[in-house]
Amino acid sequence: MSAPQEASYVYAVARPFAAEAVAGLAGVGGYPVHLVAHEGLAAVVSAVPLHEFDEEALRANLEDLGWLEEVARAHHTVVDAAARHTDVVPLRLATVYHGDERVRSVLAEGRASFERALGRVAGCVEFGVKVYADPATRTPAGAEKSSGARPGESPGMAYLRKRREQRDRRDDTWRTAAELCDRLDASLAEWARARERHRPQDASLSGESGENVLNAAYLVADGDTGAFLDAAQRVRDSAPEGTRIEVSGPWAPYSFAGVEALEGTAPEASEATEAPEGGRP
Amino acid sequence: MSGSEFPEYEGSFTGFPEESASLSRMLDEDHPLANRDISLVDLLDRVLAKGVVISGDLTVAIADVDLVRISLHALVSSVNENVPSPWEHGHPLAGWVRSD
Repeated sequence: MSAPQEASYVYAVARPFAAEAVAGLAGVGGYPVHLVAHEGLAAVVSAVPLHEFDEEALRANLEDLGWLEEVARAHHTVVDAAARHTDVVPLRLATVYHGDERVRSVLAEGRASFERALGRVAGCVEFGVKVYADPATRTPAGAEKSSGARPGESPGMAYLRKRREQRDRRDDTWRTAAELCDRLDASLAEWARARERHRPQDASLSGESGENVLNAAYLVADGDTGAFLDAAQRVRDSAPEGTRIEVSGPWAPYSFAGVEALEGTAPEASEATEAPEGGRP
Repeated sequence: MSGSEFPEYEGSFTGFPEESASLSRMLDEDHPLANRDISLVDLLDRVLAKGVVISGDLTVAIADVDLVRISLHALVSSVNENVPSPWEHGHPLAGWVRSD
């Protein structure tokens, strides 16, 4: 191997914007960020050493949490900065090409798909909404009664009864949480253009208490964010004991970039469920 | 507690950025995300599992699922060793990752 070859790491495809907005940023690996423009589209790009992102390196690096986190956060920093200036379609982590000319041709070839994706997220941000069910935080109804063995009850019977009560409490918490999810979704959908579900997060990964029963993302028009958050707040304030609602964002519209649309199918085929009509008065 | 259904709320909602603040306040800052502590799991939900997937020149040979699976290994092995089986139900990528 002679001099290190360069590759083009692409963060997002966007409507053209002033390059200064991202020029000062440190991208993945600390490398600077520039734009590759082509007929009304702009790719947000860093030149990176090829050997850090070829298949072999990626297989190893993606197993390294330190590397993964650093790249994920750098990726996000750049996407987020661009999203503050224009509409963006974020690309998945580690989308890399052999140089800017290749990026230009990808923009040209994927033009129709990128246009559709940009149209779908134009003027919108994403909010993450999670619901947790945590039976442990619930005070059992009639806790006093269940504490010890009842008169005439054997220790074995008392044990079984307590187990049954625990289970009932858990079942009840799931049911309560499911109802909360429906209520929450109905309130939020009123102010959202689309929604998308992520897989529930495992508590051992997220470090959160309770079980994540809903992990959703909502696409919200800029003008509706206040109303959306107010709606979330109202439901959150009335969330029953044993449940918890968390909101994150605003995010760039990662969850609505849409894989299907880029395969050339109609936008309607996207997994994102359209919110009911009449969201805005 | 005379039959109150919701005896104590305090400490129940720990997940909001600012416990007592209105959610709308989040938008008041100039750069709402710049200084916020973003959960890595939330972030990976988005930059790995979502986001537009187009074939890069260099990642063609790594299938989409592989990319996610490989990186998930890093996450999981970073979780405290006392967690014997991180592959239980509710896993962020349940079904994508073999549980053996």
